[in-house]
Amino acid sequence: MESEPKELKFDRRKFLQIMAAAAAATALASCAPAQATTAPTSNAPVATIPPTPRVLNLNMPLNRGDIGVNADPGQSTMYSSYFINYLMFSGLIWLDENLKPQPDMATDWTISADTQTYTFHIRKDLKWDDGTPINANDWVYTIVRNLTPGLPSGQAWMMVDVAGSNDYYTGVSTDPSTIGIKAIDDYTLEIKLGHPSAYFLMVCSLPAFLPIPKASLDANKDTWFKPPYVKCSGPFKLTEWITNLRMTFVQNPNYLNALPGVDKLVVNMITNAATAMAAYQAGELDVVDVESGDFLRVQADPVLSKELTVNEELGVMHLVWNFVAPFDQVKVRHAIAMSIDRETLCTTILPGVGSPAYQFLAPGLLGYDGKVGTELKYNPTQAKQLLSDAGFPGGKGFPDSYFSYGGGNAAYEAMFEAIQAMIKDAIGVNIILAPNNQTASGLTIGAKPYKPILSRQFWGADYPDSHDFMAILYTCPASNDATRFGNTEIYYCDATFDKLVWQAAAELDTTKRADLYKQCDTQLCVTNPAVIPLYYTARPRLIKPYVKGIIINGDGAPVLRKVSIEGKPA
Amino acid sequence: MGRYIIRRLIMAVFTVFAISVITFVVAKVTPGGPFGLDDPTVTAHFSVSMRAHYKAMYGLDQPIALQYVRWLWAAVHGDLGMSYQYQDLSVQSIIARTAPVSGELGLIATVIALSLGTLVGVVAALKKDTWFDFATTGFTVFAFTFPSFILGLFLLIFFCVDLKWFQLTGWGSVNRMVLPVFCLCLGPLASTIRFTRASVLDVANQDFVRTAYSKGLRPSMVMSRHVIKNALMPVVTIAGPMIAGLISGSFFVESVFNVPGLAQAFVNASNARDYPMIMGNAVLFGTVIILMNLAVDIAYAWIDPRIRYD
Repeated sequence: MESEPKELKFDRRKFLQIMAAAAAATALASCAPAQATTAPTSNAPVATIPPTPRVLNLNMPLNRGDIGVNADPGQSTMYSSYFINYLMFSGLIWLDENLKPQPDMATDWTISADTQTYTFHIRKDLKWDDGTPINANDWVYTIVRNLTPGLPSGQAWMMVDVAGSNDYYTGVSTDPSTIGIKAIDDYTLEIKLGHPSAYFLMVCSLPAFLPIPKASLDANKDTWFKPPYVKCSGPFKLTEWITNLRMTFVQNPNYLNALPGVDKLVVNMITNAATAMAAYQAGELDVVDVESGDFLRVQADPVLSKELTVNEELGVMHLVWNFVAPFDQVKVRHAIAMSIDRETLCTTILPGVGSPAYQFLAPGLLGYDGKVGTELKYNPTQAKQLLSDAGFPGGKGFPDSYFSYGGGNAAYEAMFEAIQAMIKDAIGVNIILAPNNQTASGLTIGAKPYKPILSRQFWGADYPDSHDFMAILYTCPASNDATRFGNTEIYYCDATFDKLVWQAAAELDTTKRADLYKQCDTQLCVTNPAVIPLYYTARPRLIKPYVKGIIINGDGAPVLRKVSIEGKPA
Repeated sequence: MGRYIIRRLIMAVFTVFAISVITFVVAKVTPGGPFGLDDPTVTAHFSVSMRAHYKAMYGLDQPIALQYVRWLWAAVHGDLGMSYQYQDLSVQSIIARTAPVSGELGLIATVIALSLGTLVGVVAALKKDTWFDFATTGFTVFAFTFPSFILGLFLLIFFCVDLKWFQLTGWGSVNRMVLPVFCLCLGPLASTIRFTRASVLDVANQDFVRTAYSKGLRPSMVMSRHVIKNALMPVVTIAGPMIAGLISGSFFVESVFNVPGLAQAFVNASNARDYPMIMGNAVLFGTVIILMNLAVDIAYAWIDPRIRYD
C-alpha cells in the first residue's frame, strides 16, 4: 500500500488533538475571570461613593437607546434626551408636579406689561460640579451658541420668541448683540421678545435655556457633553458614557438644591421592550416603561399591578385631514369623525394607551374643558345621516381615500385596522390603508394628483402651554416658508383660527385666555375641522416600591431631582 | 495557488464595489430619510429654509450619483464618514467598538458549533438508528424550526428572571455571554451535525472504504484515516458562510439579550436612514463574506489534494 503523503496525515490522533484543543479553549474561556467593564471614558474625579451605595437603575425612557448629541441641550429633540438634559443641567425655573413654574436658578422674575420683556434675578451661589461659578453671562453665552447658524439644532425654534433669534440663526444678522438677551449685571438677566407672549415663562424651562459650560465647549466643541469634558449643574453629574450601553451618574456635590437620595444612577440603553421588562422583573432595573402589549398582563399581576403607575401626558394622538374632495366638505369630515369609537379604541384595541380625546388641547391645559368636540362623539346614526346629506348615501359613490401612517409599528397597524373597520361598519365607507404612503396593491399616495388622505399625527407638549399646542402645527405658515406638511394647497390654513391663536398668545388675563383657546379648539376640531382627536397618551410605568420621590408631571419623562431609595434589597 | 488567490482578491474588490453601489442606491431610493426630516412633527419646528440648510450640510440635496462618488472618494481614503445618528462619532469608531463584540460571540459560537457539531455528527453516523441518533435528529429538527427570537425570550425569562443565573444589563463578563452564545450556536450546531452525519454515512458506504475494511484495518483506523477527512468537505462548504454569518452578529440575539454589537447597530442605522453607517456596514459584511468564501476554497485545496486551482 502506498504510504500517504506527509501533508495529508490526518489521523485519529490529530482529530483528538483538535477536539481537545477546542474543548480546552472553551473551558478556558469560561474560567477566565470576569473582565472589568470597559474603562470609563472619564478622568474627572468621581464623587466618593459610600460603602453600600444607593443605586438607581433605569432604562432610557421609551427604550430609546443611545441619545448621542441630544445630550447637548442645544441640540436636544427627544422625550428621552430631555430627561437626560434635566439630570445634567438646571435652568431658570423648573416645572413641578402640577406643571407650575418654580424658581430654580432664578430667584424671581418680572414680566413687563406688554409681555415682551422678561427680567430674571439669578441666585448668587450657583456653581458647576467642579465649583466654578455660574452667572447671568452664561445664559447669554448659551443662547448665542444655541442659535449658531448651521448648528443642527433641534432647539433653535424653541428660542424663536426671543427678538432677533431667527435673523441670527438664518445668517441674516451676524451680530450676536442683536439677539434679545442681555446680562444687565452678573445676576440680572433680561430677555426681550419679538412679539407679545404670555406663555414665554414656560418656554424658559426648555433645554434651549439650560446654561451650558463655556469651558467644556472650549475644551472640545464636538463632545463637550461627555466625560471628561462635561460640567454639570443639575442634580447629577455624568461620570461615564459607554455608547449604546449605559450612562452612569453620581450626585452633583455642587447642586444648587438638596442632593437627591441616590448615590449612583445608571441609565441603561436596552432597546428591546421585552428585555427591559425582563430586566425589571429580574431586579436589574428599578423603573421601566410598560408597552401596550404588556399592559393587561401587568394590570392583572398581583405584584406588578401594585407597582404600576399610569400618567397622563400632554400629548394627543390624532388624525389629520387633507382637503382634497370629498374631504373638503365639513359634513363628510363630521361623518367620519362620528364613526370612530374612541372609547373602544382605548379600552379594547390598545389597552393602556390613554384616554379618549374629542378636543385637541390635553387635560390640564388652558382652554381644555372636556366638552369641546364632544358633539362629534361616536354616533353612527347621525354619521350616516350627515354622509347622506353630503351626497354619499350609504357610502355610495365615495371616491378612494386613504389612511397614511408609519408602517412597521404593530400598535399603529392595530389602531388603523380598527378605525377602518369602525368607519366601514358605521357609514359604509372603506378607507384604504397606506402605511408609509403605499397601499397593499403598490399604489403610492402623496404625490399629485392629490388624493383624499387622513394621516396619523401626534402632538406632545414641548412646554406645557396651550400656545405650544395651537401655534405650531395648524397655524398658517408664512407665505414663503411652508412648515408642517410643506403644502398649503391641501392642508389646513384658517384665518379665524390664526387670529384667535395670536390673540390668545398676547392675553395675560388667564380667564380670557382660556376662553380664547376654547374657541381655537372649537374651530380646529368642529367648525372647520383640521383634525380628529383620538386619545391623550398615557404612559404606564412600573416603579419598584423602594424608589421614592419621582416626580411625573404631564410634561414627559420623570423628574429625578428629589428621588431617593429606601430599603432596596441587596 | 498564489495566482489563484490574487485573482480572487482582485475580483473581491470589484464585488465589494458592486455591493456598495447597490446598497447606496437601494438605501437612497427607499422612502424616508435621516433626521426625521420627513416627519411633520419634526418639520413643524423647521422652516423650509432650515430644512434646506440641513440637507445641504450633509450633501443630501445633491444628485445620488454625486453623493455616491463623494462617499467612495472618502472611503478609499479611509474615511467612512460620521454617523448621522451619533454625530460626534465616526462610522469607524462605532464599528471598531461593536464589531469585536459580535465577533467574539460569533467566534465562540463557531468553535462550539463546528467542534461539537462534527463530533456529534460523526458519532450519530456511527451509531445510526440507535437512541443517540434519534435524539440527535430530534434535537436538530427542534433547533432548525424553533425561532431564535422566541427561544431567546424563553431563555431570558427562565434563566434571567426566574433563576437569576444570568444578567441582562452591562457587558464584559462571561456571565453575559452565555445565553447569547447558546442562542447563536444552536442553528449552526444543528446544521453541522446534520451535514456531518449525512456526509460520514455517504462516505462510509463507498467502495474504497469497503476496501479498507477488507484489507483488515481496524474500524477506528478506517474512520479516522479515510472516512472523516473525506466527509469534511460538505462541512467546510457550509462552514464558510456560517462563520461569516455568525461573526457579523444576529440582530435578534443581540436585541433580545441587549448585546452592544454590530448587528444591532446596523439595523438601527437602517431604520434611522443613517447612510454612512449603512454603507460602512454593507462594505464590511460584504468583505467578510467574500473572504470567508475564499478561505473555504483554500481549505478545499488543503483537504483534498485532487483539487488544484490555477
